Amino acid sequence: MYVELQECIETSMSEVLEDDGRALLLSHRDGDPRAFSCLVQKYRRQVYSYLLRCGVPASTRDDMFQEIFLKVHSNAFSFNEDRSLEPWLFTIVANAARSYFRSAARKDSRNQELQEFESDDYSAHDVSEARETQRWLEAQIRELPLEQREVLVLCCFDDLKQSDAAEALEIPLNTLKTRLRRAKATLAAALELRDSSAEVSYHG
Amino acid sequence: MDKEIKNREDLVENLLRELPLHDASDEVVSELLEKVEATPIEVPFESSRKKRFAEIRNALLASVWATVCSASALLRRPRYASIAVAACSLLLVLTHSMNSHQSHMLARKLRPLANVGNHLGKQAASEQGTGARDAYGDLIVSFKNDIETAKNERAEIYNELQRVIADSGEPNVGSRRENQAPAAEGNALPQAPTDYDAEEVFSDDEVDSAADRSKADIQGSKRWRALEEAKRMGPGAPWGGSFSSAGSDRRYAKQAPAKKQKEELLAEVDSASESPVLSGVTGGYRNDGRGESPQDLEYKKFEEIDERSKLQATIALSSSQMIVTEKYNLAYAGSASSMQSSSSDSVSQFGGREAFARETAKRTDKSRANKESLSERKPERITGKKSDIRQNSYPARRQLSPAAPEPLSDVTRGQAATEFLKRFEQLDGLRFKEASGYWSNTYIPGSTSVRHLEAALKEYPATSLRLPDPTRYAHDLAHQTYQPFDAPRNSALAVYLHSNHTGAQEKQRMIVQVGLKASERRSGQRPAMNVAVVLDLRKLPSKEVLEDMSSMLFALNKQKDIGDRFSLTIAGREGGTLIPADTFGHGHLSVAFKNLASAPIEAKGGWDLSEAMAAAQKEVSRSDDPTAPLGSSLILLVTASSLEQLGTLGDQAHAAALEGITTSVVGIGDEVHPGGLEHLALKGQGRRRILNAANDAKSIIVKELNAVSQVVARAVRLRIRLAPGVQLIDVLGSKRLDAPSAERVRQAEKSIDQRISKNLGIAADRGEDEEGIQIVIPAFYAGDAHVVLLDVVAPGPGAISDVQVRYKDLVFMKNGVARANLSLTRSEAALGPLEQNVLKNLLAYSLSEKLKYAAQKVISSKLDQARSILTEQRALLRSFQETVPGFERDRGIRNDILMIERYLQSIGGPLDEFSVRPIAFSLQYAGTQRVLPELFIE
Repeated sequence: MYVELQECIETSMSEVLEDDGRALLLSHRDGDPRAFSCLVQKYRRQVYSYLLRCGVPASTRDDMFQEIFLKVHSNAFSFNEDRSLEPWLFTIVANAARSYFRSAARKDSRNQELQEFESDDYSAHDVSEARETQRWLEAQIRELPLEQREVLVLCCFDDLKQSDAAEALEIPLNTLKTRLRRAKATLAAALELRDSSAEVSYHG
Repeated sequence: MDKEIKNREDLVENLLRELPLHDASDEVVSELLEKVEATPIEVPFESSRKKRFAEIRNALLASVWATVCSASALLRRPRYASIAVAACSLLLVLTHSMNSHQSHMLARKLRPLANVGNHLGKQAASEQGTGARDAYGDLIVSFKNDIETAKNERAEIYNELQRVIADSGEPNVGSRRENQAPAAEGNALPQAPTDYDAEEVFSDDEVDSAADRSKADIQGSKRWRALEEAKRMGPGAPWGGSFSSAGSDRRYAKQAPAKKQKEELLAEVDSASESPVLSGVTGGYRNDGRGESPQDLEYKKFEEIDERSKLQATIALSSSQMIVTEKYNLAYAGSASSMQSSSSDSVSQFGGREAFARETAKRTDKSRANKESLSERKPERITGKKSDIRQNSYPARRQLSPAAPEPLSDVTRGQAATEFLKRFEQLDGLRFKEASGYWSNTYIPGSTSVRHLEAALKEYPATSLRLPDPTRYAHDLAHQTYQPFDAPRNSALAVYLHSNHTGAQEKQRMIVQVGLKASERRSGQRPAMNVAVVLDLRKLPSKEVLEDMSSMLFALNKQKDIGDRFSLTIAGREGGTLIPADTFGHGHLSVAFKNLASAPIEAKGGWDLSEAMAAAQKEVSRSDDPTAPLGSSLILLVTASSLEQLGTLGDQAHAAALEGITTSVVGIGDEVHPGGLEHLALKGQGRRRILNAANDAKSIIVKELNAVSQVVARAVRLRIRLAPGVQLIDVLGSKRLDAPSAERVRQAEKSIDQRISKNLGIAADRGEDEEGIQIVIPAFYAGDAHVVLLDVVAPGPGAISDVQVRYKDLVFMKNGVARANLSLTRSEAALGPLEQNVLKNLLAYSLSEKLKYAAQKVISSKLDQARSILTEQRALLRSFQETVPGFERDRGIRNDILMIERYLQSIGGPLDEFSVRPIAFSLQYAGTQRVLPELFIE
């Protein structure tokens, strides 16, 4: 399997990435042994980033990532080929994340505080203000309510069209727009607060 | 104002877009793809579960209706109709709440009742004619309509089933479908023709041979291949994986995704419609003119569609029917008379198709000729047996068959690989060791020696070993082999036991691998922390900086837990250990900061930073627990000014790190120099952080304190017992401890045990020695995997070894135990991934040893010997790469080869004394890291 993966990476990665995800899934459905690894290559970053930014902790993220693609694989025949793949795929992803948060909410809150900080995947030695801002921003995103977070991640990171994101999250388009605006407003307010406190701290 | 908000939101959006996407690791993806290979795609068997329910429900309604109405008709008690309504409603509710199996079982139980009802109904009908309808009123009429609908649906589904059963070549789903059929087998429902009649007429052999021949003929034809191609076009194709019956034929005409291919095939299809399949159908069924079935109506609609669509529909029909021919439809031809007598409805339902097929057949002379020629073979084919027919099935689950791992014997194609393996299989001249007592632990992430090497490599970077990415060196390619063990979900540790053999006929030498895998989940409890905070007040801090510093200290105080020891040391001004560990608390902190804020600016005589750091180190060392997890002793420097004397401070931090005391730095304000902070953090193996606002203080403190919570298991006691007759040659990389060393291990284990019992309440259970090989690992980190390799000789098949791991589970807060055992069969089966992994680990162990050996040669300036060792290793790895399936693309082996080539380049010529040491350090480091988990950083 690793061979296939490597082949996929080495021989036609550029083609693969440009390839239509829908075509890849249909090829996989028709028995093309390489199609699925290419499909995973195409969406692995988007899906993984979604899980990370939605606050799925590192300990569960890899498993959930695999479960999502296994679901894509095993439910390949339920995909309607007249539709675009992204909304279908991200419906699975969003449902997986929501399901996780539902079950996590039921569990002992003992680890919540840890989860808050454990997705700090950065090296401590990265020295740049930009990095600091990024880390701050990542933390702020994790602070957002899930419904705003998932909208923000789909629209701003995974570059889904708003209509596709609404379809993936199974919400009306206007609701999605409202949530997106709220998420941005919350972050903007936090940014303002941060800037003002930094000014006081440095120059006050 | 709105514009400002909009600008802010735009800024946020821009910032968001700059954030990098994170990626799943290759291991995760690789593992996923392996899982995918082993997981079949779920092909929807039925259009939907709901539909199955509806089908069964209708069948039940029909049965009950027939029973009750017939009985009431017989008894001339129309009011029983109301009972029928109630019964049907109840069944409706019941079947809704049942799963398909339960519904099916209920239907089976009701079948005899339905039979009786049908019988009585017929009797009543013959007596009363249509008078019953008047008697029962409109309600009964509506029920009858429902039953008609149920009948039609049933008939369509059954009809579709026939086609698809014959279409498929796999043996299971047909029986699944068959299992559902009895729900409708009550005589009140239309009976599709069965093959029992044919079975009575033709022998099994005739059935099989005729079916095989005709199938081979068809499958060998161009047409078959073309139709197969059309089938691959997806659900839009005629048999695209759905049973949706009601408008299916009409849909064929509309969708036809393989239109082009079908057009090309039209002529052939015409002949197919004249093939024995259709001829069988046309010959077999007669429309007796008693009403029109839904199929008839559908075909009549076809008449209204244009000619082209009709022909396309013919393709669909004939394509599916062509396959049905093989064992199924032709059987009907031979048993037409019996079928006609069995149910007039069932005959009529095929009547439409027959007429349509005849219509199509008339269209070409060619097809007629074809029909004649084929009909000559008809007698051979007209047969069928229930089991044969029904075992044909729909391909419900498609299995992507993974390639079976090839046996290890293939390895021996490569000479170097063969010789290597022979060394581990020879039985002559062996010396055996006692498989008991304490053995040294080989799981040492972040060990002092590794820290020394890391520090040395940072101090003396070997520029000649740089990789194309200038920030990486050859030794950075050395990683532990990926261990394909599943991480446990309900415990902190899991143990795996495998060998590089799956069977042994006689005396056999083998490598037994004990694998440990830790949970990915971090433990919820951090260990007790021993932290000395150093406040850098050499320069007068601003009020805000002082506030930030105080917020750090108060946040630290707030996070203080049982067992934690915090202290505060000041550099500059009123320097010294202001608050020792014993008195660290809110009150003392408040007083200290009040004094600092009001202290005179010109106050002098305090310690410089170096002295403060030394004092802090002393304070931490005073109460340092050597058995505590790495990183639980910490010096936290909080500074708001640029660091001077970086050399001295760096040396101090380095020395502290070697003692197991980490140094982390927190910068406050805009005067701090990030480079200086980073330097110190690197030297102290700690972390560098910037406090931007007082609000961040808590998060920084929590991150620092939780950094060590990655330890998921403490006092891991590994006990390996060999079965009687199995002899131990060696535990690779480990050695049997002498009595004093073993005693130290016991004491350390007991100390951890008691401390955890006291702090966390996990019962103390250590102190007893056990039989077998005992290895004690002080701490195991989340997500880590580790293997212990044993070289043993087994007398033959049977039990080889068993392993027990006892540990303090810090994730689930209990005493954890994991066990595994290994036994070999008499015959050697193909090696699975875990068995192949044993070989990879053996190779990694060998490479690790050779790299360390080469390091010794380099340091003693015996470069030729070092080159020879490395060249030999490269040849060995290449040999494995060429000969072992799955190794050719193994990333670890490729990296090893790349790394060795880099070393060979660097020692290709004479080296000056300044180059020798870095290369030797690098080799030593790579040799260590090749068999160890990644260094725990944060």
